[in-house]
Amino acid sequence: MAGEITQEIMANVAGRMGDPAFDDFTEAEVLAYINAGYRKIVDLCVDRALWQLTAVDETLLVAGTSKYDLPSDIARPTLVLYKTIPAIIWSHADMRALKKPNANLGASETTPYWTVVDGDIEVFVGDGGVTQAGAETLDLWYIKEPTTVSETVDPELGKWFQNAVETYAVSLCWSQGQGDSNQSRTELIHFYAELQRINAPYIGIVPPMDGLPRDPQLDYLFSGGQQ
Amino acid sequence: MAAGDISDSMVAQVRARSGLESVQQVTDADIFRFLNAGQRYLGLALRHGILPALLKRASGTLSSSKITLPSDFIYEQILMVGADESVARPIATAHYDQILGNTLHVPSLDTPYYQIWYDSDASAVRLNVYVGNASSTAAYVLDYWALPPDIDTDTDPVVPASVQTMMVEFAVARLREYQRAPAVKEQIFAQLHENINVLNSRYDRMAPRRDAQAPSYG
Repeated sequence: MAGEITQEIMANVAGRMGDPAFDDFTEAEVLAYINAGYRKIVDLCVDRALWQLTAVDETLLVAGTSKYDLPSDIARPTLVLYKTIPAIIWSHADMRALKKPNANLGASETTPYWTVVDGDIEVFVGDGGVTQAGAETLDLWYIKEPTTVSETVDPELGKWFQNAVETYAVSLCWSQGQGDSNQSRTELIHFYAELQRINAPYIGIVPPMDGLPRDPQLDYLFSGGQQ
Repeated sequence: MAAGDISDSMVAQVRARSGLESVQQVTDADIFRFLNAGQRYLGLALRHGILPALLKRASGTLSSSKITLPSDFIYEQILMVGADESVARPIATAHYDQILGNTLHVPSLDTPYYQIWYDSDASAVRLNVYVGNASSTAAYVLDYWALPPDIDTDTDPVVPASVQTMMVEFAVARLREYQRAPAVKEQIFAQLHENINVLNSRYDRMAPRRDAQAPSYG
């Protein structure tokens, strides 16, 4: 049933605050903290870990029109295809180089450039501007903001993000609800550790994961877990 | 032993460890939620070698050069394509042009590439395989890290016994939070992480093999 997972997360957050009946924290507050957690996850996770939030926005090109609206749910762009050709991202600050005739850049229909300005994607395809031969499109591949969850809307991110988002919401409960900044900080550290584990397989910080088991590094125990 | 007996035993251990023996104090449903959360937590924290049941394999044929991801997919490990099972390379989405015109990166059944992204035609995320033929129906084998299936009173965990003990630790820690004892929860988590570090250290290539020397103090 839609919303079941969100309701479970809400119950876990309220329970972890010792408030299973939502007396100290309203459902709306807990939901707000959960949604803040999902947005924080999008900020702190590598794109490949967020494959459930990948999106493509296809826009029909209009002859002579170089600017196209960014989708309202965009978190960050990844790739633009102009008529299926990967366009080159160009820094807006270096616009002068793109605007003047420059043999090195050579914007054209087959070497398109793009930048973001005023909430739009602006494409540069050289003299004559954008053309349209029929149904050609500008495709933006992007990471989208997570859909706001509610008691009837489940998160798009998988259940392996659930511990992290609960912990982030608990951190906000401690800081905003009861004002215990130390416990809030402790929960935030747990949250960062969760995200590190989620990101780890993608960023090369994990040592070999399998193979023939060796003997354990017992220093972990004999040092009191300080390593 | 019937299916679910191990799970029921874990619930009983959580109750004993936390002193909450009665369903009047905490329900089995709550405890199963904590145990399942713990299983997911450990699924991300422990090395693959400790959790062999979570390194799963899916196989089939490409559909228009695409693969529907398994429902329990977290991340891929190895993708093999074609009759020769060529191991595919991941490609950064932003660098998609790398496989379009670069003569050193021409995708084929011998040198396949892949990435995971939303697919407009399917209105869903797909694993896109590049083999130089957008309508390929070649065979594939996908090894991937999986979300552990939830346990309940009829379903036992797929993780080994040592990890089941750690799931119990995790659930007890969560219960301490319910009892408004976050400091105790932190102590349990510290112990849990000691256990995680020790177990993981067996898979560090610099870890010792102590059977190669005679015991001292003999």
